[in-house]
Amino acid sequence: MKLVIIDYGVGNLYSLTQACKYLGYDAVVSRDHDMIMEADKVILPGVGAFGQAMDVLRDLGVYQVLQYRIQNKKPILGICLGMQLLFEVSEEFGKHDGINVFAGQVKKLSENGHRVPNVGWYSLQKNSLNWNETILDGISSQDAFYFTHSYCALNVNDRENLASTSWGQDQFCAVVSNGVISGCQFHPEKSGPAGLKILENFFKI
Amino acid sequence: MKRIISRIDIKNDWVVKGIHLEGLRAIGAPEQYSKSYYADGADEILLMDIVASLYERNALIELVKDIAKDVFIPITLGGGLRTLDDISAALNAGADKVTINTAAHKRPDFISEAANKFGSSTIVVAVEAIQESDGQFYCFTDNGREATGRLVQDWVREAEAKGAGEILITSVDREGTGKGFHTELIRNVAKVVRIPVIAHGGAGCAAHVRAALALEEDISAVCIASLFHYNLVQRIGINGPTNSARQNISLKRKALEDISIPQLKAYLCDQNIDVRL
Repeated sequence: MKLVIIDYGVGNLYSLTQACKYLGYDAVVSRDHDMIMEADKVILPGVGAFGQAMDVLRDLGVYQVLQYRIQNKKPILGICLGMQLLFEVSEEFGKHDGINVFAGQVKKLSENGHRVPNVGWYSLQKNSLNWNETILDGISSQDAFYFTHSYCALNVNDRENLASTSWGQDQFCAVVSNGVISGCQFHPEKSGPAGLKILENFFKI
Repeated sequence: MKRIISRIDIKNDWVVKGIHLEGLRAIGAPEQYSKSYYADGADEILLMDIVASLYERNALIELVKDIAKDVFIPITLGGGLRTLDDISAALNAGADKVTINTAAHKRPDFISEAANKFGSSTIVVAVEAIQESDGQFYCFTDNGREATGRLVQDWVREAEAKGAGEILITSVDREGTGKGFHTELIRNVAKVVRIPVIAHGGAGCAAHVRAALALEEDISAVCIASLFHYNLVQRIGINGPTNSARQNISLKRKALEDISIPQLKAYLCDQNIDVRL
């Protein structure tokens, strides 16, 4: 299985590579267009600012390669900022267009007595969708995952909003998926055994 | 959920533990401690380089890389990180976050530069606090040895304004004593910032941890060293360079409850404190 982790200068790529290795998969970290286009599975990581990340993806030509994969229904898993980039638009430091795979907007987490950045472990809430045969196959409502972010995805399509996380009286999208392209707001490579299960599901689907 | 962070202090390739951040005794190998605490259910690991010298830097980077191969929870590295390149090296080796203290006091704009380059959530500002005779809490560096003259409450506000993602507040007075967190200190810090606050220094039993996490000022996490080390050494007999780890830790027996991470978490859950099980 050819697995590529996209290298666009942001994110803890070493940990992600080690998590894949632990599961028995040799991930290649690359920005090479051919490698990304031909890979069986691609992970889009990310830490930092949305606008800057989109600029880098465009400058490197990786944005176009991602569009190719999306149009040809080739799997992508977005993690943290990588997940946010899959939406329409973000309000982080101005208004920036995303890759626009999923309907929804990325907005700042409301404070409402909570500390931001949101750093910590949360469990996932099922919405109306079944988790069988998705990247959440075998995950329970007791499992917790590690989040670290100041922005979140809102107004996500019911058919794609696989799991939510409570935030005060509100919720934000924790996992988005259309069956081929998926995104996790949390870091599966930093969420212990439960997180590793999600990565394994992505590799096996 | 509240986070339980295991802190591992490292000197010359060994885990060390002391009281008031000095009088250090070697008690075991960092990789073994990290993996044990991960298996026990720690929510994060904090690796602190006590020596913090450039000479030992490569050894520490190799250590982080080694730990990141089997430990899949957030890893934070601190101790002597002075430049953006130092931070970059730590992150590339598998650390998710770094703590900075001395470098930030020398030049507060370093916090902004680091936050802009790596993201706020990557930068934890570590504050070493000592309560002086005037009753106020002051910031120190170098494991509580060098005074900065800055008041803790002013400094944490400045750190937040400059883009710090979290504050790690250590009571040097309580550290290693097992006498409980310095409640007044951590409340004072939690009251004046809106970013997450991690309390460190003095946890001696489960009740201390419950008390800190139950505060209405909203403490996000506790950082614990001695309490867990004492329990781990009892359980699996870790060796130090002089083969006397059990001896090294025995002085603590009276002050510390013998409790593992899973036992602590079960207790906290029972006390209605939401933690990852």
